Order: sequence, then structure tokens, then C-alpha cells
Amino acid sequence: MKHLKKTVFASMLASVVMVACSDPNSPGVEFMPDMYRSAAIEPYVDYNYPDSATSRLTPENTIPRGYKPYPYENNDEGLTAASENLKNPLNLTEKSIAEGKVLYTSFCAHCHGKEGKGEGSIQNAIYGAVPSYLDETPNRRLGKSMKELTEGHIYHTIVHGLNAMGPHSSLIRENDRWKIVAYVQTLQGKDPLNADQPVSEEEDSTESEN
Amino acid sequence: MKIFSVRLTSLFGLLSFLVLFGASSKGAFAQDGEKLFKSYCAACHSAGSNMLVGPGLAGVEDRYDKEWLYKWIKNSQELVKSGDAQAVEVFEKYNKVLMPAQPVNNEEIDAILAYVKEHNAAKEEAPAAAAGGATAEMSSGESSDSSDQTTYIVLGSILVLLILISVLRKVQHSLQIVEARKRGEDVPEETGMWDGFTSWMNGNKRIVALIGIVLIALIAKAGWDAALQIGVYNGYEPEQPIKFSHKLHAGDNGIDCNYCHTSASFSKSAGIPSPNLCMNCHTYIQEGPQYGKEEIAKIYDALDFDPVTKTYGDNQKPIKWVKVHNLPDHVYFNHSQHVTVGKIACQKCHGDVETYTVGKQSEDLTMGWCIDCHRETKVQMDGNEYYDEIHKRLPEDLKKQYLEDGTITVSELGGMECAKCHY
Repeated sequence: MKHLKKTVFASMLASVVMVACSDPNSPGVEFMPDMYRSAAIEPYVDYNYPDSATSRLTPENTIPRGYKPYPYENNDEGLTAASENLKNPLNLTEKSIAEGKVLYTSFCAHCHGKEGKGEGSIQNAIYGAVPSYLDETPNRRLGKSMKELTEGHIYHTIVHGLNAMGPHSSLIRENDRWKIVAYVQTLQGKDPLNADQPVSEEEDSTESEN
Repeated sequence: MKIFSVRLTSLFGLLSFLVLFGASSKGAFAQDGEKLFKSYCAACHSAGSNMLVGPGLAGVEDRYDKEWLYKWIKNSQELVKSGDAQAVEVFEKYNKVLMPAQPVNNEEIDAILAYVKEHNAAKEEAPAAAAGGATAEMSSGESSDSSDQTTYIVLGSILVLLILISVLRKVQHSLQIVEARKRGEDVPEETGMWDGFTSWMNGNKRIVALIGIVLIALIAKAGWDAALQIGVYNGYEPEQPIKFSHKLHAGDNGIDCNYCHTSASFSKSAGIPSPNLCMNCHTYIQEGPQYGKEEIAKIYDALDFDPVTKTYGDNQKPIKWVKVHNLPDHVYFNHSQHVTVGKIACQKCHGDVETYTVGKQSEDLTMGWCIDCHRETKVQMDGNEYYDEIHKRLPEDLKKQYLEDGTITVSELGGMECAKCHY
């Protein structure tokens, strides 16, 4: 009897210790795993594939729905061609520029600055010298100044990146890129709404494809 | 003595620093150079020795003749075309990327070169200080688990108390022996701690019963709470394969959540960024402020990327991030519905992620938690003509029921229907 009491006391103490030292790498006690764990594949859960990747690569030569090939290559010739020939296909409105501003704030402002003057929040020397969109010194690629970059040039830069800027085509969808381009043009002091541009009414049809 | 000598050297360092900057007018000159460097060079060149788009500029004056540098900087393309042997060599060596002609004069080039020189001289002194800072930051990060510490303190003090009681009992017993010997009585037998405890319990049955009831109530409460935590993973903070810090990226550097979790605004899943996104910055930023090159090298390893030549190999493998927020299979959740339509801030459900050094779950993510929010959250209807029209057409009795308080919550729009989330 005496022994029993001691055992009970010791096991109570042990359980307190065990609860106190829970493992941060374990989520905790699971209740009915068959209701929690999906039979269908969910993103970012390890299903013990040989390479443990849940996000599978697509088979070769497949393209996403609504994909339009981008014909300009990532070199100076491609950039020259894009900056001369590529035009904004969207039917721009005040609203699309406002949307462009939101997208610019998410995707560009930390380097290019909220007002496009190059004073972003990234605290690294490499990204501490991003040029202002209002800069008129003709010392950029192709001998252009930041202020005179065309819409095609800006779009090409978003797709392929330029200098220390990386390619952003996998982050930003096609129409969103053009909205950002339009907003960047306002930061250059231009008015993309009143520029003479070929107007097409594709915005609605391309919106759903992405 | 040692302290004195340390002080002396630091004093000497301070003096030489003052002499260097106070006596030479070159300091101000190089400051102009910094400005010029940033506006003309820094997009492609670092002032150190690491290669960005073009080579690092450290020691550039020693490598090339100054007159040649003037020509090269002002118009490198012309120099290459003219067949200058050195220009062609440089052009071929650095991947044939043309450097645009820079509209600067000789004096401005001198200022830039002076800045580069000064920058590298200052850098040589910096690493020691930087290393000290890094270790301090790391140790402060480790001592964050205060709840664990409290448990250890409580358990430790219980242990100390038990030892103290047994020692005091021993002392009491030896005092009793001395007392008994003085009186010439028999030496009393030493009773064990447990026997003493049981005899005390037998003598104070009411107190024991009271304590017993309180203890049972406490245990029942703890058991109830523990049962409610089953399947609730609040505070889950697993170790990740790369020590990625949200505090550094989203907090200190102000990168928007959507930059990396791109699909949150238009998809069911917010998305874990694939390493190509990391490389938008980390192609060039190869050293972090906290762990140096170690953690960033893990991205390069996964991508089989050579940070020197900046080329990718074939042996690429996925990074095994550990999923933190897991919803049960029987509930449907869609990020875009909440982020884009509902305009809910990420922090509402994920906590102040921009302060986390390790990703963790900060809310319960239980059904009660979902429903509480659906009950309280007001739907933002301003500027949405669809709702204006609907409200106009709403029958009178429903208008009274829903619109009387002037606000419409998610639950009033059907956000509490079972089949909204369970189907």
C-alpha cells in the first residue's frame, strides 16, 4: 500500500514534467487523423514522394491556360525591340492605375520606393542605390534615362529583370504587370491615360485566363 | 593592466580616426564620391570586391591605368569598338555585358574612385565589430522561451524545499537524541519522511480532505483544458530547413507579404515561394546580417547555384519547408476570399508575422475562432453597387432584421451556414 502511494505520486510528478517540456517540432495531440488529413493532395504536405516535392513540375512542353509566349529575349537586342514595339494591351482606366498602385506597393516599393524615387526599405547596399524614375541622366542600359523609359522597356524589365533586379514574371501575372507599368509611367511624370495608344478591349477576356 | 592596455589602443584608434578625417579634405571629397557612386555605378557594381552585374570596384585603380579608366567609364563601347586590347579583354572577361556610357567628367570619376578606396579601407576595420554584434543578437534570440524557464524554476524550488525538509528533519532528530540523552531516556527511533507525512495526515483528516478536494478540482480543470487543446496547434513553431526570419525580411526590410506569398490574393493557398523568388535578391545578396553565408548557401545548394559564376547546375532539389498552419480536411478555406474580397489583413489570422524569427501559428484556428470572427466582422460594402441594388430590393421585414443596426456582418450574409465551409 505504501509503495503504491509513492508510485502514484511519482507518476503524477513525471506527467507534469512531460507536459511542461513539450516539443516545439510537434504540433500537439491529434484527434481523429482520418478527419484531419486529406486523402486528396493538399499543397505543401509531405506525401513521401521520392524527392518529397508536393508541388510537382509540369510535364515537359505543357503551358498554363491562357499563356501567351513572350517573344523578346533576355538580352540587349530583346530589350531594344521590346522598348520600341511593345505596347500596353489594356484598356487603361483610373481604376486600373489605382490597382497598379496597389500592386506596385506590394511588388516594387521595397526597392524602388513608395514614390519611385529609389529610396526603398531594403537595407542592403546593393539595393540602396535604385535610380529614381524621374532621373534624367542618360546612363541606363541602351543609353536611356529612367524618365524616358518606354512602356515596353519597363514591361521587359519586369519580365526578365535588368542589372541587379531579378525577373518578376513568375510573381506577377501579365495584366497585373501592365497595370504596374501604367502606374510607373505616372511616377515618371507621364499620363498613361492620355497617351496615344492602340486601344483594345481585351482586358476582361485576359483577366479570367490567369 | 590588461584593461589599461585595451583602453590605450582604443584611444590610439580614436586619435588616428580623428586625424584621418579631420586633417584631410579628402573626406568631404569622398562623400561626394559616395553620392556619385550611388547614382552612376551602384546598380551594377559593388564598392567591394564581389561581382554583381559588373565586377566589384575594390582596387580598380591598381588594376588599370587612370587615363584608360577615364576613357572606359565615359564610353566603354567606343573603346571596345576601337580595338583597344585591354578594353576587349575586360569586355570578354565579364560575360560581354556592355557598360553604358556614363555622363561624368574626370573630377567626378576621381571622386568616385576616392570613395571606393575609402570604403574598402573602412571595411577592413569593420568585420571585428560586426562579428561581436552578431553573437550578441544570436544569444538574445535563444533565451526567448520564458514559459519553459518558469516550469524549471518551479520544479527546482520544489526539489530544494524537499531537500531542505529532509535536512531539517535530520537536524530535529539529532536534537531529539541530544535532548533524550540529557534526560537519560531512550533514544527515539528516526521516522522516515513518508511516515511522518502519513502520521500528520492521520491527525488532520479535515485539512487533508480539504486539500484533497482542491487538488482534485485543479487536476480536473487541468485535464479539461488539456482536452480542449487536442487538435489545437496554437503556438506550433517547428524548426525549418532554412532559418528564414520574417522579422528580417518583412519587418526590417519592409517587404510586403504579397511579394513572396503571391497567390494569397487570387488563390486558395497563399503559396510558399519557390527558390527562384529568393534569387531575385539573393543572386546578389550572398551574406545575411544574422547567419552570414550559411543559411543563404542552403538556397544555392537546393538550386545547385554557383554564387561566384552565377550559373545553375542540374542537381536541383526541393527545400522541405514544414507546413505550420494545417486546417482539417473537412473544412474549406480560401485565402483570396479573405484577402481580396474580405480585405482582411494577413496579421489578423497569422499574428505579427513581421516580428517572428521562426514561423509559428498564433491563433487557435478552431471552428469557434472562425465563427467569432464571422459574427463580428462587418462586410465592407462602400462603393459596391451590387449591394446598393440588393438592399434597395430587400423586402421591408428583412430590411428591419438586417439593416436596422446599419451594419451587415459576415454571418448575416450566410457566413454561418454549415455548407459555406463544410461540404
